[in-house]
Amino acid sequence: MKKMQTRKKKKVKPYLPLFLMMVPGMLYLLINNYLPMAGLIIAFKQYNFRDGIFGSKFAGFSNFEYLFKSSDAFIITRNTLLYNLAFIVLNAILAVTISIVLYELKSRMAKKIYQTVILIPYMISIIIVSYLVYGFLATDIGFVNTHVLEPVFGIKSYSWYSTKTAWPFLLVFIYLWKNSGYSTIVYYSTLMGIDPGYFEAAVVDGATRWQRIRYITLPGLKSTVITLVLMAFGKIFYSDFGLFYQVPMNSGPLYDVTNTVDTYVYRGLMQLNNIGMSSAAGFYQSCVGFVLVLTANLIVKRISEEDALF
Amino acid sequence: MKKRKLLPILLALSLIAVGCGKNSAADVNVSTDSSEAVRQEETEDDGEDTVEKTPVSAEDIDVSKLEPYVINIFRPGTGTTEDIEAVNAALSELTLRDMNATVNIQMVSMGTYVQQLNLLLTSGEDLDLFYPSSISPNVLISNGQIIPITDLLDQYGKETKAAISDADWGTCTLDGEIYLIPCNEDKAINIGFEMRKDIADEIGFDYTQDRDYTLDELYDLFVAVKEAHPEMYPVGANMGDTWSRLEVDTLSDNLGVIVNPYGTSTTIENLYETDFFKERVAYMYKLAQEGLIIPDASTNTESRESLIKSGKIFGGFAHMKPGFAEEKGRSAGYELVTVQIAPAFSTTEHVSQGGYAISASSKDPARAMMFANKAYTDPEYANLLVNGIEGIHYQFTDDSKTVIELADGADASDYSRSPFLHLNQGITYIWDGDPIDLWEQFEKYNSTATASPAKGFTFDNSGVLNEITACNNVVGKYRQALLAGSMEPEENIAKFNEELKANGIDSIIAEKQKQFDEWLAAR
Repeated sequence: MKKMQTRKKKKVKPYLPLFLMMVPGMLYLLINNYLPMAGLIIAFKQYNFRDGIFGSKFAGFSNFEYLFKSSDAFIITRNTLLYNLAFIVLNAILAVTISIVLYELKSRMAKKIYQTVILIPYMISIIIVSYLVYGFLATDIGFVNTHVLEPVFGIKSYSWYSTKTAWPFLLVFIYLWKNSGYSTIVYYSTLMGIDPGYFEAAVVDGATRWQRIRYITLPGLKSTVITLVLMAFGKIFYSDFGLFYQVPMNSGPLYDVTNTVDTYVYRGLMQLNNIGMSSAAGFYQSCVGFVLVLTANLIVKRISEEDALF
Repeated sequence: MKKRKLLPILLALSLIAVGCGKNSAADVNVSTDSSEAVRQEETEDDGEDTVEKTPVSAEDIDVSKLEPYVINIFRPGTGTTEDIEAVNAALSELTLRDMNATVNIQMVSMGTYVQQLNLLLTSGEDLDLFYPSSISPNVLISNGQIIPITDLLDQYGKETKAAISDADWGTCTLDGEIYLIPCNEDKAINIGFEMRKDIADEIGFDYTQDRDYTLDELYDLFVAVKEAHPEMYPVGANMGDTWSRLEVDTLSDNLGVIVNPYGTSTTIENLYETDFFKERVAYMYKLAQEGLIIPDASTNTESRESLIKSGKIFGGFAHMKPGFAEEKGRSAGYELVTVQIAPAFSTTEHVSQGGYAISASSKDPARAMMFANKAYTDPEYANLLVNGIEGIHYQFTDDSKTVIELADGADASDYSRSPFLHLNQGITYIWDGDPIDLWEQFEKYNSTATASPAKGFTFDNSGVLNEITACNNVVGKYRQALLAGSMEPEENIAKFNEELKANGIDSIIAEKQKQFDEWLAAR
């Protein structure tokens, strides 16, 4: 799958309508995404509504201190990074596997049904998911306690929301259940684009199913996987607030394993309402993500140039 | 061919129409040139005035000298657009007569009020008077969103200034300037336990005694309730808090408190290290171990009343005020009674958390103050604000014209009634069902409540923001769970305090104590 060679000199005139169609979109991007970047300066200011953004007192790096000084600084960084790494890697593996299986299915009806079913969790709001989880894990009436732990293992009233041990696995499981459907569909549509001729030729040459997957399907997915993973790296310092705040029902004893940078900032600044400090957190997250994407892209370039994002 | 082109054109036009239309209840009624809000001669904006500023009584205001103006007010509340506009129009008649201005009151339901208020304040839209709700006045002041009103009160709010005690004004003061007008409502709390009357009667518990009940007595009650009703939990929680307030002076953030608000000690301590906290947590742990507290109490997002309504709990610890049992009983669906555990005490927060402030973006703060003054002292204004229009929203129950009820044909949701959200509910009519002497009860309650040694003191936290942020996270980790008895007390309280110390609670307390001592010395 080689990229098309682009011609250096292009005649603009025949493409003028296309360029014109781009203009509204570019204008919107400019106004909505680029102009507000000037607001990054809020992270370095002690924001005062009367003085406005540019008039407020300069605060240097003091707005960033709270992210590093507290005893929780290491925990939130560790949680955010490790969870996201687990999410990215496991999501990729799971989604690729399911998409290949989907692709190998013979029945068209089955394909459509499975596609829909797999995608449904992605559409459910995380708040609803948190109550679904509560229905399973509630101490007195939860399904797990009343139907599994008590009758089978004889464990009474296990308080899921007060014990940390299970939660890293629970959160990864819930994330995969909710989000792998979306990636699966993306990978599946890539697979649809592979020329069936390759498979026919392989069958003629006597390749087994596993060999077909290994030599045709997987390489076909390589570019898409790399693109999605690289983009996910850019968000590695962000976290799904719903997943880490709502699903554990904001339970104190679980903070050590569920507190990420986003939830930490929320909990710390809720009463303080300090714009400078919360902007500093966002700034920090974007910077780290930016550096990581560039680095990862460089690495990919060394390995396989055509798959790099830029 | 023509049909094919027509449809997209129509779609595009409809999109434009939707985008351009602006539906705001505000714009309709008012027809004045609000853009020229020329100030009168005596305005406080001139800073150092050489002219003597004479206080102007409400009657003396020379209306003919005032330029037309629109007073924009924002407060929590709900109602239909027509009813809100009707009340605005009725109020505007009064304000045109008294201060040549019309009012534009906008309201949003309490659930989204704070977000909307933040949007309103940050967008710089016209706003004169508003109710800060849970946004701390400190935050508003340090963000420069509200203006000092000391001079305005002296000039245009004489009557209001006189009607409120100096001690109460002290709670709304920072650095010598007053920033809030405190609402006339319950300015203290007493701690107690609310419970279902029917089950309490069934058990034979005497809740009528006018004294402080002990926690041990309540323990016996809980055990009895559990025996009689095994499927119900005696003690519930309110949105995750088994004890939303403890009988301490929190000094605005619970990080460094005055543990005994009834005493005279002025030493600020770490609440979570005190014996008081340890005993309370041990008590709750015992209750939880015996299955007397609802499981997952600290993660439950329901309100106490809705849990009572669904029959899951018998009651819960609560902070109360006069008329509490009747008010909560209405939403709990069962008749409720209360017993007191700790008597009424009053702190700075209790007074300043209900108040009105003048926005920094107001173009005529003097006018806003004139309105606030009228709202506080004139029953005509107050009744319109709180109850709506007579005959449309409420009617008198009899000819004595003292008690009111819902008007025939009106719905309670047309113009929602939350008296405590207004400047002065004490001069409005009594609602049918409330005790006839409710306002007197409030007065008595407020005046007999013990004032905490720190009442009047407001902590300026700008120097310790990082420590507060970090400590808030630690508190979130332990407090609710400890008070719900779901964590083993001994080792967890120790860990709790260790983490607090690692995150600078001692610096917060030192800073607070320093400011407090200065404030005490200056008194």
